[in-house]
Amino acid sequence: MTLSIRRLCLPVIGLVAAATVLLTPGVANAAPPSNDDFDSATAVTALPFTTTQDNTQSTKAADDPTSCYSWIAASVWYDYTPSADGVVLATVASTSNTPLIAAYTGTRGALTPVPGACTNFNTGTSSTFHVTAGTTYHIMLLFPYYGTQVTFGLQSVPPSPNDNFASATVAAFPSEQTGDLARASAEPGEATPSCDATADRSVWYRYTPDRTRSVSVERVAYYNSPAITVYQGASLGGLTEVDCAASMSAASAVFTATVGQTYYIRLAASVENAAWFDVRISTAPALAPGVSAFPEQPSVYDNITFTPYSGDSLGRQFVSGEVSFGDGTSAPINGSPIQHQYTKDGQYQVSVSGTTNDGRTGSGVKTLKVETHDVSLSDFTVPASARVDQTKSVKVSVANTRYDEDVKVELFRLSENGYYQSVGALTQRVVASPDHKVEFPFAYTYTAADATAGKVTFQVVASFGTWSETDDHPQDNVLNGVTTSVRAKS
Amino acid sequence: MLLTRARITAVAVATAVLAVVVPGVAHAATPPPNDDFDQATAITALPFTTQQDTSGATKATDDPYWCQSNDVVGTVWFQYTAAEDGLLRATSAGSDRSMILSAFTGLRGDLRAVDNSCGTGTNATMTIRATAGTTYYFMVAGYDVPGGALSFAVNQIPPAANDNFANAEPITTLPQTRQPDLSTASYEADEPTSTGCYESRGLPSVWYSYSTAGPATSVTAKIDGTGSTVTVYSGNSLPELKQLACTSNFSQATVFRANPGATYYIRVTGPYVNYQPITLTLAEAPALNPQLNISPSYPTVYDNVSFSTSSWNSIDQPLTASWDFGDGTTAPATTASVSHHYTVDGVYPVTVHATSPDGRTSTQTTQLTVNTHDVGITKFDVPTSARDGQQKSITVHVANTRYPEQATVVLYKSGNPYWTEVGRLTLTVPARAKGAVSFPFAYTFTDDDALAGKVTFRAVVELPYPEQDARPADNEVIAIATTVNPKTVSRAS
Repeated sequence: MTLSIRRLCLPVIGLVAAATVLLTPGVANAAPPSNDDFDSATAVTALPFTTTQDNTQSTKAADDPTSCYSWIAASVWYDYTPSADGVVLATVASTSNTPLIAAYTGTRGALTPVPGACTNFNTGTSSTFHVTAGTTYHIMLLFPYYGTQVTFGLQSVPPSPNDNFASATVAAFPSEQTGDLARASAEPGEATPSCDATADRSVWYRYTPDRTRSVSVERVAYYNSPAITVYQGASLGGLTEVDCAASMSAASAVFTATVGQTYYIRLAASVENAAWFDVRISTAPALAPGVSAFPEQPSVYDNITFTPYSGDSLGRQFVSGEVSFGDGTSAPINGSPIQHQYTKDGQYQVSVSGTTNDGRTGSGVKTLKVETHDVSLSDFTVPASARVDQTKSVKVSVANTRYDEDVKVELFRLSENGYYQSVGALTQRVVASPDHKVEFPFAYTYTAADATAGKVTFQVVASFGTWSETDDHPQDNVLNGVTTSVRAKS
Repeated sequence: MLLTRARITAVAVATAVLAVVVPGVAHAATPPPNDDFDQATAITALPFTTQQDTSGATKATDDPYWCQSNDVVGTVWFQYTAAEDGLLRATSAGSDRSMILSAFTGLRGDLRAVDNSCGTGTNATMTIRATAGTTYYFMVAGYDVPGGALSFAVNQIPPAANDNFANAEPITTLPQTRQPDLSTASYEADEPTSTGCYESRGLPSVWYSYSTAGPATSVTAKIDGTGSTVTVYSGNSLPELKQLACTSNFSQATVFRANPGATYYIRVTGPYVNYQPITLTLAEAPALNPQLNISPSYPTVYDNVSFSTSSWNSIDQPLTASWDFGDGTTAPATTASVSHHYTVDGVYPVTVHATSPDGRTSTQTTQLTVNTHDVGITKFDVPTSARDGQQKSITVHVANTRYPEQATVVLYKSGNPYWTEVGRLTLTVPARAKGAVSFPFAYTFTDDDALAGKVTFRAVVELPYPEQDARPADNEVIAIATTVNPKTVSRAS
């Protein structure tokens, strides 16, 4: 009986004991966590591993490696020695001040960073890296400012299903493809992309088009973009590169996919840049070509520069093509400047057509109006000689073979200070005519200053009355004339 | 019996201890069983629906920050491994409050948000594209509260019936309105982009087709929805489509001409997720009724009259118009304004035939009155000289070839600095091919005039208000100055 009572009492005591453990509140430990120092790293013995630990008292060591982040306020350590090759995913979570993750192999004082394992503020709160059987990985959680309570996890992740060429994923068309290149590996026998020699962690997709079309492989995410290489061929050793877009750039891959041919799309990055990718495989956008002209409102006197553009939203320029000027002449698109001068006024349909390096073609048309306004001065009649106080006639004629204009002619006299001073102005309508000229008459009274100088230099300048029109050939709008002898009154 | 008493006591003590140890928790909501990601409720078959109290949900430090994160204070989890490819729709409709839904794939600590999987509100909804064999984790949170009386459902949903070009929904009568659900749509291989409108690449699309047995009709298409575009094509297959029209601007419809016997394809593109419905409206374009602008509106034979058409409707522009001026002359079709000069007064029927770019036409006739009133001063008789105190006559001769007028001549003399009125006279001036009416005035010169030595006279002829002289160039004359001499020396009396 006594025995029985004792047995019954035990559960009660046990219950009280368990409750007591709960009752003791989380008083801040004065001591740092057990894995504060490299030498006392927590051993991770099996995956998946997860632990929540208060690191507020953690400290840094003088020899904490700074390859991942140069400023460390506190650090804690975990060690993991896998028994097989594979890929692991380390994660951290905290309500505030989440640490960075770094991983090393080697011994204290001679640590080697695990490539691609360092998280930084751009790559977030998880780190994926490859591990080799038997090697010990020293995982450091580093706090740049102060330690906090952190949940640390380490788990094994499967490699990318399409890591190898032989297991390329058949891509639906169109489709968006996503994956983590940190789980991919370099495969022996892979060719190096021509545009990105460092991108060796690769995954593969395969595409056989049901009709010939232009295909683009574009990055949907803007950061950590992979290198995109397109190949044609059947085996890893027998691939021909079709197009290449470098990693960490905005470039897309574009190519003409011929019906029935098989294309391989390789997405890759260096171990440091390997991350989640998001690309879209779809029909490439059509070109929207055009051409710009400078000047935009030319005359027959202008040597116009034409600049064709492909209008490709993916940024490919024309590698060949032609600009037709609409007057029966044209020029090829080959990188040289394209210039043309028209011989007659008119509205010209300037057309551009061309091909990008991926095989897309397109054309566009622009209407260019050539209009030439031009008058010229002639028959500037200036008295050869005069006397002081004499008023004599000065005149000039204006010719115009193009469009009726309101022409302003201004008469100037070269003054003693070297500047031309206006003496008079006259505006008249000068109609377009093949032979008829309009006379502009002026008068001038010679002064004593003219006699002192001994001569008078005159200049006439023709212009149009309004701001909106200017003469397209101003070289013939100025004439000079000299009264070579000015004498005192008789 | 001793046994029994000890047992009762043990239980009593245990309860008492428990009561001490676990203070104040008795009235708070318990975290639901699927509070933690690792205990996500497994959805084993669809359709799935559940009611649960999530008001005790808590938030984990590794709950992903992606969808409305600032308002997430507690989360519960569901998980589903898709049996087949297809669309899934999850909703919290029927819950007692606003919820936040999102979906993820992958590993805890490295979860990836599923595209377009963010829905909030009292009927929070999200539609995601699922791949067979992939596990989807649904995170459900209350909006600014841990949770509430959650009603959560997940079901398969078919793609939009007119998702693909090949299944374009035929439209046979107008007007029609549609509110497509783009969350169940996708983009296809070889879809063209929309040129000149909001970007459509990579956006889901639905298709409609329109054809008419006749006659040819102008059809307007309008789209109302953020980031949405309606584009109209002709052609028989996606790679062959030619764009006819497009608009992304809800206040501006676009228009296309539907000829009988042809099929036109109308595509709506827009974002997968839209908090307001997208509305497509197709209608017959309204009849063309442009404004007819004539300037000046009361022309004379001295005016170059400007004629143009205009319209407030963007689909009408640019208007092409041809003109019959009603006096035997015409102007051919042009988009520019035209000008015409009438040589004879009269009332002219002006007819304009206008065409919009899509081929609607209109014809309007308006009566234009050309009415020219014109008098002119043909002669101004002023003395060459005069003496202080002398009176002389001044005569203004006014001619008129048009309509009898009551003309008023005002005579001024020069002042310092202004003209001073000397006199005015109104006479009837009949219309005569030749001849003029004389307006007589007299003026007596003053000693001030003699002091200045010269006086200038000015005459102006006016027509009575509201008449306006059509050619004012000949209505004002300033004469050569009259020399004014002082009085002759007076004889001594």
